[in-house]
Amino acid sequence: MIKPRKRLFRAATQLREALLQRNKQEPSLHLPVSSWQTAQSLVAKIDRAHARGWNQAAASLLERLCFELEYCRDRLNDLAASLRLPIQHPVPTAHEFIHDILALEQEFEEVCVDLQKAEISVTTEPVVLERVHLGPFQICLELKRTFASSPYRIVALDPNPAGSNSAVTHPHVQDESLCEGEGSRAIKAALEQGRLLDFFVIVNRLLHTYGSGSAFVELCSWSGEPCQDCGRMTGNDDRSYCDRCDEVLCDGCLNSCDDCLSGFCAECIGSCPICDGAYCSGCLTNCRVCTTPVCDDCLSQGVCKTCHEQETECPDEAEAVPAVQSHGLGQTALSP
Amino acid sequence: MRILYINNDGGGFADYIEVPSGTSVQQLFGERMGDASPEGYLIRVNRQHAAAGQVLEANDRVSFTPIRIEGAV
Repeated sequence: MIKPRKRLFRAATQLREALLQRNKQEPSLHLPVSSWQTAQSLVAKIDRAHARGWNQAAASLLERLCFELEYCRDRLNDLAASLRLPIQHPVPTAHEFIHDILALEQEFEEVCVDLQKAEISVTTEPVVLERVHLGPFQICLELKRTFASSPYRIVALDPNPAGSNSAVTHPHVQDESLCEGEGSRAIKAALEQGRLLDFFVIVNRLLHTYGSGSAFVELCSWSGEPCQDCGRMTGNDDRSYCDRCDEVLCDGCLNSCDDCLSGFCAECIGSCPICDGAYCSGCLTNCRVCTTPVCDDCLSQGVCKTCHEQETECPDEAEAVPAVQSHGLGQTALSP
Repeated sequence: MRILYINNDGGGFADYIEVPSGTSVQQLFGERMGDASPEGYLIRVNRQHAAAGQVLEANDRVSFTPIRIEGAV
């Protein structure tokens, strides 16, 4: 907390100077390269999912692709707009800054002003969305970069990230970057006009609001893990494990052995070549004639049905048992 | 009288406007925010939480900020 008043006035003056310097800067030409690369990666994953018939995984990936493409479009539109308009934004007085900082101290758990970096950061109260505890967040704003596309970052102080992606610490925060959604234009206006209190209050409200259906990771899948076979996110209610290799599986990819009824992944489940039933390796027995692993129903006295049928159809071709007498070496007697 | 009116809903608006003397916070909200419900907004005068019946004074700074702002739309 900034005390006493003289230090507060000095801080406000220096913050104002930082914003004045900002006004002299050229707009930042920041292209959404990272987001575009993510979109390209998603397209490749979608193609693979379609080729393997993983329709549910493909649908989920398509949703993420839509989000990335819309993000790219919005960032490109913002950049184009900023290049067209001259930057002429009045900077608030030091008096205004002092009142903003004092109000921030009443609004947030902790306020920190780094004069050297011209950075202001506030700490929110712990965020809980639909009973998922995400912990408190620190909102760090770099005053000299408020015209840039990402002049602030959201730092999780007691992170509880999504199970499927540790970079997602909040449904709308990935890699310390907030997806502003409905608050985008209001944030931009507040930053351009130097209204610090409004900026931090808007961002805080974004962190305390959950937009279902448009999150990096939905809260219903927050503690989820991906299915090994199809890639779909599994929650606590629809997650199983292969009895052999212990990998995570969704309900749709869990294969049950027809004999022991245990669950297996696609790699660990086998099948009986005679009846085409699904069986684990423990429930298949090798035929003593052809050594093919078959189920117990297709095995009789250690011989599979196929070999039995062959013995029945062609008895003459049954294997001859040579009777060789030591005194008749060189002669072979065939039994009828 | 002149006041600084800040609306952090949608596109964001911040500018000085003229309002009749004796205008209350509730009246200003009704005129500017249409059918929106005050319960859905943080309403501040001079950066402090304000009561609906508070009468505005010249050069007051009034802000309306939605409580629910969804990310990633």
